[in-house]
Amino acid sequence: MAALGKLLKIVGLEPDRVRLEWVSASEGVKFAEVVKEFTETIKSLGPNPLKKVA
Amino acid sequence: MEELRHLVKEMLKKGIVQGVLAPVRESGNGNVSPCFVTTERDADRIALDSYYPFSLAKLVSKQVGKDTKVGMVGTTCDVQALIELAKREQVVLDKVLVIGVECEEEGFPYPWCRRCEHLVPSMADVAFYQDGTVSANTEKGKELLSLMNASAREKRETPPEAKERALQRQEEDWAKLARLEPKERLDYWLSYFDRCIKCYGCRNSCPICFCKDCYLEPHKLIVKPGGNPPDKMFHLVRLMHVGDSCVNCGRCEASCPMSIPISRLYHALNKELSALFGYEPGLDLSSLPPLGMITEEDMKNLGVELD
Repeated sequence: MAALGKLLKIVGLEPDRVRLEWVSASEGVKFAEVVKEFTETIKSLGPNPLKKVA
Repeated sequence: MEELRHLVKEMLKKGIVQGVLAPVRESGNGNVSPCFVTTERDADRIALDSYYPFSLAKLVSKQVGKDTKVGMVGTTCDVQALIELAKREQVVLDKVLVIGVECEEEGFPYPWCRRCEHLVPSMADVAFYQDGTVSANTEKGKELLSLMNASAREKRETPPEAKERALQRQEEDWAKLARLEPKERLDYWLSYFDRCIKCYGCRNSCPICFCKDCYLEPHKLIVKPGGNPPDKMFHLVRLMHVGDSCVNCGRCEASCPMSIPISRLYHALNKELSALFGYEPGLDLSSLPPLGMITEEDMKNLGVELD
């Protein structure tokens, strides 16, 4: 993950677009929180810039 | 460097190796091409340029069979590539006698050569230096040198001043890009990726790209078949696969018909990763590529708890 972050940074993408989190099956609340948080991060970053150019 | 050609001839005459892979100069146009040297005549044509645009390490891994023993004459980056391939079990180093040639520091127009910190092939069995001297770096190398009663000298490393100068040139090469805003940096790379004609030249020439079943082949559907330029993932997938072990040989950039500065990107990522993992590719057979072999200790250092 650390390596992937470096890669994204070097080509100019936000490393925050990728996140790794360990959530156990019994941690429903944590799972919801993580997803909510991450969705917000992604929304604030906007759409993937790799998508629009093609 | 006549001694090098002499050594190759001795190796062939005594039957120590079936042949020696080396860059040789074509008699007609003066170009340098790869050659499996088996005769004295070919040995005389071995070119000792500090750069040639193909990877012999990749060829060696295809050339060595169960009962064949071959030699290889190459520059530092090619020897580094060979070591990386050996780590990936693509070649058995016992079957290869590696003769390294020190690179000249000055006079190379290639950006990757200017960024290079490794002039001396200290991991080769036998190393030839620009001043005409030679050293045996391994037991295999010592045996080999005893053949030609050459006076071997102490094994050398790249002088620290030369390394310092290389680091400075790296700075110059990357400074402009590093100063850019992420958005501009992305635009910079995307504008280059848009030039790509998907010729697979970078993949085919890369000594670290050895996979027989490549994920970038059209039928794997990561990169859609047909249509140019290819999906941006083409470059990012390759970058992720090779990034930790790039030896900055520049073969990718040299083979790119669209002049995409690929090695600038790969080398920059590799420097970041070697700082992160403390791993330098191609120098030591026993240290394994970090992205392939993460140990529990590494995970702990990165703050990942495994229960």
